[in-house]
Amino acid sequence: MVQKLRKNFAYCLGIESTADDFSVGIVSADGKILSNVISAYIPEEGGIHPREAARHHAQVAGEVLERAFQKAGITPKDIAVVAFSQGPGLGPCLRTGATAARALASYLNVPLVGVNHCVAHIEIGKLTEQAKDPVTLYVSGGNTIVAAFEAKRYCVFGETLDIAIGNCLDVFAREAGFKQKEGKPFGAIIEQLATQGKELIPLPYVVKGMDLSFSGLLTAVIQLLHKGKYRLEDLCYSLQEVAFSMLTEVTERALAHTEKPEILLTGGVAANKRLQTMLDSIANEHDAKFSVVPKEFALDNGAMIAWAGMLAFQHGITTSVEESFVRLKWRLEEVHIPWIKEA
Amino acid sequence: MKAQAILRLKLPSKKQAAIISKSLEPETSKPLTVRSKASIKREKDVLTLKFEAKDSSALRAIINSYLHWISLSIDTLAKLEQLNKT
Repeated sequence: MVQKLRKNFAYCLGIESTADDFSVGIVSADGKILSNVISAYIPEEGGIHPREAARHHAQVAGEVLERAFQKAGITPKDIAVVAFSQGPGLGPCLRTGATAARALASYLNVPLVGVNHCVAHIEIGKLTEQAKDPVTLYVSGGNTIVAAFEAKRYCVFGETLDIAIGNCLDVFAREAGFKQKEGKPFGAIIEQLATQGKELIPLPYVVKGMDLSFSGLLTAVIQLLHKGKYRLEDLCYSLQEVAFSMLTEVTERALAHTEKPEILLTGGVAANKRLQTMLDSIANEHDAKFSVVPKEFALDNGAMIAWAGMLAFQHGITTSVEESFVRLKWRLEEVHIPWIKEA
Repeated sequence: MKAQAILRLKLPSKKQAAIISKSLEPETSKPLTVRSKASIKREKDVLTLKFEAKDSSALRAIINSYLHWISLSIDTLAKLEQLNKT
């Protein structure tokens, strides 16, 4: 049943909490992003510890929520629907966001909408870049997917068979002893060093049909790192060239197969200029438009959850509190997309 | 289950207790792990949480999780009240 939005209550609040970021975003029914507040959990060492990240999210949730409303310039009474990242992601982190969303929706007496994190990344990219029907390359710490809309859903044309590209870069960076900080993630450090690389070191290039594998590449580059035979700049350069070439190959194949008119790049790794250049060049070869989602919306964020939630809500999709279980392995192609009309 | 605990929490209001109880119910019905589980009951403004776990480490972990979620919910509701007054 499509629920009509009350005239003056046309805002969706979205909560993102799938991994290390906790974020609240507020969007209007016509796609204006009123606020997008993010708090990142940065471990002192090692990767994301799910329970520690969840603890961070629980501690900052109230403050992030308050800032989101203040930036948006609206009050809680103006919210028509609450959306949350229902999956995929890390269990403890997802559950924290879900609990906050349920409490919000119950207090405000408004509907709840569970959103697929990957769908949200694509939809916010389409909104900010005015992309109509792209092949999307979504590259982050937890996901590496090439997707496009076909037959009422976002189909996965290619994906990683093991680890995500962002994870690959992060693990290498930790082995190399890099320290990340707010505003300078591991990927940015690798990118900076790569610009000073001169030698392309042979590394495993693994594309299997439309799918990719990064674990062998990671093992090989770490082994070379520990041997001490190569400059760090050359290792970073080679790691990027091989990994990004693999991504570009699969994306180009999806573009050729689907004959879509555009490529959309999103996710945390989308900020990398070398990857952008590679994808731009293949877009040109296929007379396709190339867009990169701005960093604020390419990283995990609440605004994307809010927008995807708004789209779903406008087309009759809601999630009862009783059924709002988190879905750790929720796949992109499992999501029905009624808001896109096929030609 | 070898380890057990019961927590009774008195919340500021019946309404708040009802909201928090409802927001935690999906977590009790689908536990994160087979090592522990929780149940929640509400009577007016009091929540009673029962925890069972295979060992004391798992018990501590599940209690911590629920306390974080309850603290988060209380904080969130307090912020909403405050924002609605401005």
